[in-house]
Amino acid sequence: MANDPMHQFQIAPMIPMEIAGYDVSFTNASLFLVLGAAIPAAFMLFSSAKAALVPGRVQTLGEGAYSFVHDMLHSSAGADGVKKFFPMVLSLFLFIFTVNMVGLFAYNFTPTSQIIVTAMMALLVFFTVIIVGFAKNGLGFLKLFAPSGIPWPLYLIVTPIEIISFFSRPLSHAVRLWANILAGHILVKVFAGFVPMMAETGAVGTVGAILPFVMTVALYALETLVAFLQAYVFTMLTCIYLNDALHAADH
Amino acid sequence: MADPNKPHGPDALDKLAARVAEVKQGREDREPRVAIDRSGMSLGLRMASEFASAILVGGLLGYGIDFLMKSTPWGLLLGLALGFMAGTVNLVRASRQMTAAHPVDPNAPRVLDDEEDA
Repeated sequence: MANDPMHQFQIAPMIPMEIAGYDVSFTNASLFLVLGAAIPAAFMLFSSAKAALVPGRVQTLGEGAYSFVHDMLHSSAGADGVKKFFPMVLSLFLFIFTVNMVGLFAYNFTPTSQIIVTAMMALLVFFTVIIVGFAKNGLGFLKLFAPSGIPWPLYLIVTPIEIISFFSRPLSHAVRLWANILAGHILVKVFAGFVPMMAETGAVGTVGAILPFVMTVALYALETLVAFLQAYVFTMLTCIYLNDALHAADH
Repeated sequence: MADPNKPHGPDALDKLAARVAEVKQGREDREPRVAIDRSGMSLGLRMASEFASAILVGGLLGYGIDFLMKSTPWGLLLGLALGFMAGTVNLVRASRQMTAAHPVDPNAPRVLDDEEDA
């Protein structure tokens, strides 16, 4: 059904495969996940191939992306954070950004519209924070749940709240990216679906179809912004959470 | 050397870097920092997910405690209440973060309090 706004999220196997009874087919989702990894890698390799002192156009783009993420991480997690986490954060940003952008084109699949993809990325960050936090601060990491400078009876309330707040992070982290992409894609599809539906009703409908068409164009512009913005927000929050892993004891 | 600004000599690179930094600074001074989070829907979804996820996690933790200690329904109730508080804490933190990222213009005209006379 061409007008079904949910059709774009269907996963269809391209190369059926099965290992030990599990379905491990190479699907359209797999294809765009691979693209999301391959395009940034190719772009970074290509832009740094010449490594000229005075950068050309592609190199400027590559350096721009690099320093954008570098500054973001540096401003929230400091030089320490850059040294430890920069490869991970840059990969996350480029991956989400590419996947979002590629998914905007017609007929393409957007892996970030599947909550399992965003949840895995959020959990990756979550467990990195826990593991690095304990490795770096030892039990001092638990100070995250007991902020200093409050009278002791309040710890009975504050500590559970901090614990819940900490565990709610991966959930909101994953849901935010997923919901934005999902809602945006459905919205665009619904308005785009109005165009042929109105045009079918005759001459007046055809003229009226201009309105949803204009709306679709406007929404597309918004979605392009959201594609970047959500990659930015996801990375920004990753930086903030990673900062906690490094500086939990200073709370 | 027709262009007096064209860098030459041993410290050419440093001079060039200084000029680039100067131009960059000038541009930043001229253009006010544009708030990046303009999209209302993304702001709404951000706040909603911060709040809802804390309640959900609080409720789940409480339910888990109930399941282990057979204390139904007290763990769930307490967990939901604490989750609600944690959600509010999350909201305050998120909005504080946003204000920190885009500080209020210090030169903006002051809004008078209710009791104040103009």
